[in-house]
Amino acid sequence: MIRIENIGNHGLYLPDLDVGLDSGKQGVAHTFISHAHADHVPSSRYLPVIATPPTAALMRVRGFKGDIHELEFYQSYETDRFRATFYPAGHILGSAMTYIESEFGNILYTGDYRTPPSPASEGFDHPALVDVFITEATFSLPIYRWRPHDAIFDEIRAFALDAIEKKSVPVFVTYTLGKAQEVMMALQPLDIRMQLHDGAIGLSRVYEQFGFSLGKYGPIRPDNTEDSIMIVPMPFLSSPTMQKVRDKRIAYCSGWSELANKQVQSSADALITLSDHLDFFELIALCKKIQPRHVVITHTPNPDVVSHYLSREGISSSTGLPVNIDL
Amino acid sequence: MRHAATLRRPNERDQLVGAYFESLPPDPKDVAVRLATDGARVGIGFQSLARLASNFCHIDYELVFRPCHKVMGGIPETIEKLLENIEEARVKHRHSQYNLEAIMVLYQQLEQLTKKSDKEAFFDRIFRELTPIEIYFFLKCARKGVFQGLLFTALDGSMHRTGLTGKNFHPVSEDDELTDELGKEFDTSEDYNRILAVLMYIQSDFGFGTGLPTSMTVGVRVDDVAEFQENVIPIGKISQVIEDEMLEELVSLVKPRIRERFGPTLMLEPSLVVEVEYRSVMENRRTKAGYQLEEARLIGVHASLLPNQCKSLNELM
Repeated sequence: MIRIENIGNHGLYLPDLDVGLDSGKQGVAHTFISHAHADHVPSSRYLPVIATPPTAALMRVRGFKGDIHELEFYQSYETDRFRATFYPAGHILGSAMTYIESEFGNILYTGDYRTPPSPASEGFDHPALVDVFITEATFSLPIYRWRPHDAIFDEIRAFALDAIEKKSVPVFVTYTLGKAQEVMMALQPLDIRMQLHDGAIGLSRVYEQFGFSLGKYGPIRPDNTEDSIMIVPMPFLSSPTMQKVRDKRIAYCSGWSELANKQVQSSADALITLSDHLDFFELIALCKKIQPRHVVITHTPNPDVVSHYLSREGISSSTGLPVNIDL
Repeated sequence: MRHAATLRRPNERDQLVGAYFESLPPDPKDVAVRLATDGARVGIGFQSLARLASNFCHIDYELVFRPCHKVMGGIPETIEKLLENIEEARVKHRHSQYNLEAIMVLYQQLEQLTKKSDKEAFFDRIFRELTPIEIYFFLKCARKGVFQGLLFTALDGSMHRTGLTGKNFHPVSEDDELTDELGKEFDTSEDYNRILAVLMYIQSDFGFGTGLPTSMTVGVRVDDVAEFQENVIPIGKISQVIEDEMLEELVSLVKPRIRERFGPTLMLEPSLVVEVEYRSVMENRRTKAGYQLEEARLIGVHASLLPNQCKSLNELM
């Protein structure tokens, strides 16, 4: 039997193996970090952790000072109790699913993931044999089905070109890590200079360092926006800097964009549904493909819906933590 | 129309809306304007329809449809999205071309149906033959017109600015008003609730003389909740054209209660009690209350009542 506990908002702890997963718990022997988004990185900047090299680089750009043991995808991290391997998660650069093989069975922890993968990631892959599948389910309702990336990228490019043709500055509102770089990849074929919020520039350089081409970009110059595209986070939209940009056309890019509240809708010219998480149907399909003995559903407001669909497929699941799983 | 509703620049929206309606020959234009502004006034019970849609999609109404509805905020939107996404529904689709006149015939057919089994068969056909977005508009136009419940009620302004409302459509008479008789098997009366609330904010021109909708914010009491410093907090936004009689009464009651002005919006002393009809209470974590009223409409003003006679947030939940 293996026990899985939750730590903080996103972290998990396996006490039988003394393993933390996106956990900030002090004194844990082995803490694996799935990716560099702030909600999955320990708040303590000095905790020793294990992460992929790109995740380590992104964490350091964001101020992490602790010791990071860098583990490449498909390489093993061995102890006398378990073996751990990172598999590409398809969420952002460096994002990894942690696969732990031990006397308690084979556990796959997804962190945040996407299949089909984000084009701004190393792809998506999973091990063949999984006993316990600990999965996020951010978009856990059948109202969420994503369009192919090609179609979304066409929409992004069309919006930018239409705005420029109308003598306006296209502004894409996204998170600075992951989504911003996806939008940059979409816009790169246009060969138009992109102006980024300061927080995204250092992170984008890490993408380039690991072989991703993002096009021409630089910091924001509100006095020189002609034939430029801007990519900024939501809070920056109301800043004095952005107020200087007179004629803007704003596209809000998020998996939640269709459900964006009135305030967002009234300030945006377009709502582009772009997510770096898998949709509901991909989640169910992946569970059917992997056929784990048990699924632990995490990070969702609707765990019962996922559980209901899995039970229709004959797949055992649970939704609350802590949980003891007896295989 | 959906795309027009997303445009935030009024002149672009006007152009798109105007161009669409002007492109129609006279007869469909009358139909289009009527459907857009007033609806077909046909009885459809949305809750029963939700169950029919759930069966069509092979999903559990309680376990799956209801959580989806809670997120989407409206039943036509939820049905549209599920029919679009769920494979069991998609494979049944066999699109048929319906022009506006044919859509009106469908409404007339629906109006004549009395047996539950006939209505079920009717909607099974609708789900198979119309695309999801067509179904969305079919349901929206069935009752009160496409603008009701749409988030961008400024679209109504576009209709006025392009001169397409107020003329060339068949006026709805008293006899056309929705009654329980029409929707006997699909009870619509249970679809709406009513509460007493406090009027908190209102648009400064009240839509006066323009026929444009007036924007208002209503609130509920939280004087029984320690975490709030205020006695009243917002619970819903209303945007509707106020009829002349109510408008005159509202203006006279609002003016002495103006506390402050923010651009076009007047902040009021929270002392005017109004009666509000709404479909349901939706979760909305971005609001102070954490909830908001769905499809809220002002149906009465009660100057003689006091705010402590209004609903509290706890009672609403």
